[in-house]
Amino acid sequence: MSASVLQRARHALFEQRWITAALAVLLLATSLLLGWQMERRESADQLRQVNVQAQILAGSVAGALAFDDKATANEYLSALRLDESFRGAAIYGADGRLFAGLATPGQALPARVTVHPPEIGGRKATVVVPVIQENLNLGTVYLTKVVEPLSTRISRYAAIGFILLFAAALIALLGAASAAAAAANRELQQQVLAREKAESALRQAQKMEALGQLTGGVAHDFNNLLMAASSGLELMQRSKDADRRQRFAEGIRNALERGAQITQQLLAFSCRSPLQSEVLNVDRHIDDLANLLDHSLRENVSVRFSIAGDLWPIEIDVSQFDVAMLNLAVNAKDAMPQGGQLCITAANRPGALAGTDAVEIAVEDEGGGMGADTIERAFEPFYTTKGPGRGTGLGLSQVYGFVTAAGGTVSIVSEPGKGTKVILLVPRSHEQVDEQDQATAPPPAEDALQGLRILLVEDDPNLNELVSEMLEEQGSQVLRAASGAEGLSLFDSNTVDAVVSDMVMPGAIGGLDLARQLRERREGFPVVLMTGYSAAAGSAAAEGFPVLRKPFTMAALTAGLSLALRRAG
Amino acid sequence: MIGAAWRTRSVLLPALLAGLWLISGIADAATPEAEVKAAYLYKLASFVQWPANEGDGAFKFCVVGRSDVAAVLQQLVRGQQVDGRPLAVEQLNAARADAAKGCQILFFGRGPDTARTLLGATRGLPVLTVGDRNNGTQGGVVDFLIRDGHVRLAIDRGDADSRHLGLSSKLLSVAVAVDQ
Repeated sequence: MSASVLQRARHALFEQRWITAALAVLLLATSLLLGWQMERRESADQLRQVNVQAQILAGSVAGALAFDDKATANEYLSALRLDESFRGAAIYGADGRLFAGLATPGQALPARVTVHPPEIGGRKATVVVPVIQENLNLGTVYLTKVVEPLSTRISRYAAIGFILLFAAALIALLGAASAAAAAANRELQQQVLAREKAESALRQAQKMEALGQLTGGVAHDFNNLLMAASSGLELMQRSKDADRRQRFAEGIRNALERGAQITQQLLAFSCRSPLQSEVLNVDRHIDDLANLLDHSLRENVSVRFSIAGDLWPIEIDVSQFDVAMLNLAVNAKDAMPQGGQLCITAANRPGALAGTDAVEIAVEDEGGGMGADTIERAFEPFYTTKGPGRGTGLGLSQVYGFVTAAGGTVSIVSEPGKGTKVILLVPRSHEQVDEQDQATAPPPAEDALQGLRILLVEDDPNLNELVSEMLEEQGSQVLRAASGAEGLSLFDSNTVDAVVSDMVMPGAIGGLDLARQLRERREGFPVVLMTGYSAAAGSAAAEGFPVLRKPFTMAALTAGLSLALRRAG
Repeated sequence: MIGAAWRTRSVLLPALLAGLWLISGIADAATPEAEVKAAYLYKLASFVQWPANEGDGAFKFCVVGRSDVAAVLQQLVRGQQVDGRPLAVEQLNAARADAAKGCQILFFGRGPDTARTLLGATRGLPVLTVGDRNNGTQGGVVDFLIRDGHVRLAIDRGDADSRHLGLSSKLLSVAVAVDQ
């Protein structure tokens, strides 16, 4: 805590250029102040010294001055010359005349002086003191010295000044460097942010690209099955033969089932939610995948599946897995412009992932392959060998990201001209596959819904009509409501055995809200929810309501209702 | 022992000074020599310590045989004091030997015989006796003498001690000869 505060403080300190500058200036100012104070004390000392020296001289020369002994006076004066700061000294008689004097070259001695306390002028300290012997004024002594030779002062301050300047420069340098680093860091963060944005946008674009390929195929298939359904219907209306009508009806039904299958795949693919791991049986899922791939590959590319039996379950995000497989398939297809075979294999690999069991899923093509350099960079985002506008360079990086997130590894085995094999190793899951398929439930009895009073809530009038028909066909009495609120009021005013409700409806009360409120009124009350939206289906199933995915068959409707009634006991 | 060296060197000076004195005597005006000696006598008072219990009254400068020096001295001491005592100048001769005992400074300007008499009369007393070797009156605690054309001092510290006079080291520092 305190460390982080300190760190923040330090950051703040060095990131702010002006603080650093202020620190350096403060350091210099303080030292200047100290220097000035020292200098002042120094000059006061100098003044005292010159005064004391003059007093001593005055005392010493009293006899010489009194008895006119210039030789002795000069001896005293020349003794002063030993002091290197000495500039001049003179002795004046009581009559004011110069008695004896000595000065360094260039230094003039005043002709007359008056007594004054030590003072500094022009770098010299000067004093004139009286020579007094027992009240007898004998004359005056004049003494002048340089305060301190400039050279001495400079040499005294030079070293410390250099250190100070160096320290200030160091602080400034540190501050500048730190500020530069902070600026660089900020810039880098911005770049990273921008890059992340671009990556996610591109990932989305890549998904859209895959989706585009997929929808192209899907539209083609849909047109075919619509053709089959509409022509079947036309023929059925014209035909009078019951057998032929039955055959046409069968054909129409097949076409519609295929359509339902395709939309399921599309819904799975469009699921945008982030990694939502679930336990998956790869062998069962790959069958679904086959349909998906069929729609996204060209006709000259065939797909061969080689799936080992009894595969271990794995825990992955299914939609990501689908996208990954699609990416690999598209890569394989692009690697084989002349067509070829795409081989998808899956097998158990005991202990393959650092000693733990894994499931290996491999996608192999017969394309041009790639060199070691390309393999090395293949998983880098935005690295692509495809032409401009053809690839995002995100395909393999998505695969890498997805497998790594699942705790697995991905590797590439390839040589130029010898095809490419991408191997995914995904760790084995010890969870059991959540089997909530209606398929596993026991087949409902023919008359399971006979005589039941069922409340149907569906906002779409066509569907409301049709589902109502389906229920009445089974011998149920149906109460019809067009909204959650209406359903709730009908439920309150009538005796109802079960409720079948759409999930996504306009109004304040959706299907799931309705189901919850019904459960509040009657605990464990059988409610079956219908939806065409896979995300909604997930949340309803999570709360324990049987969910019918649109489109559903009458059998599925019966099974769902039977399951709900069974759970309600 | 002090004498031999300087006496031979300054053989001409006494004659010259005597000449000057004669002229000054006629003109009744102070010679530079008399002024210097008077000033020295006056200043000597500041460099010497007399015993503390030495009488009250005026601080007396006594001059023997040099009325010109006495006259200059008279002007110098006018209105001055030493240790709060007024200063007085008195001229003495051998007949007034007793009066010499009351002097603080006793200068023998001329007359070796008078000098000897007065020296004897003040022996052991706190009287700063000042002789003038060029005028043959040597033997004082301080003697004037001429050297290199300047009046210089010779000092007899032994005599000073016996008279209980304290001589300033500043005074000793300018003496050309000091007798222990």
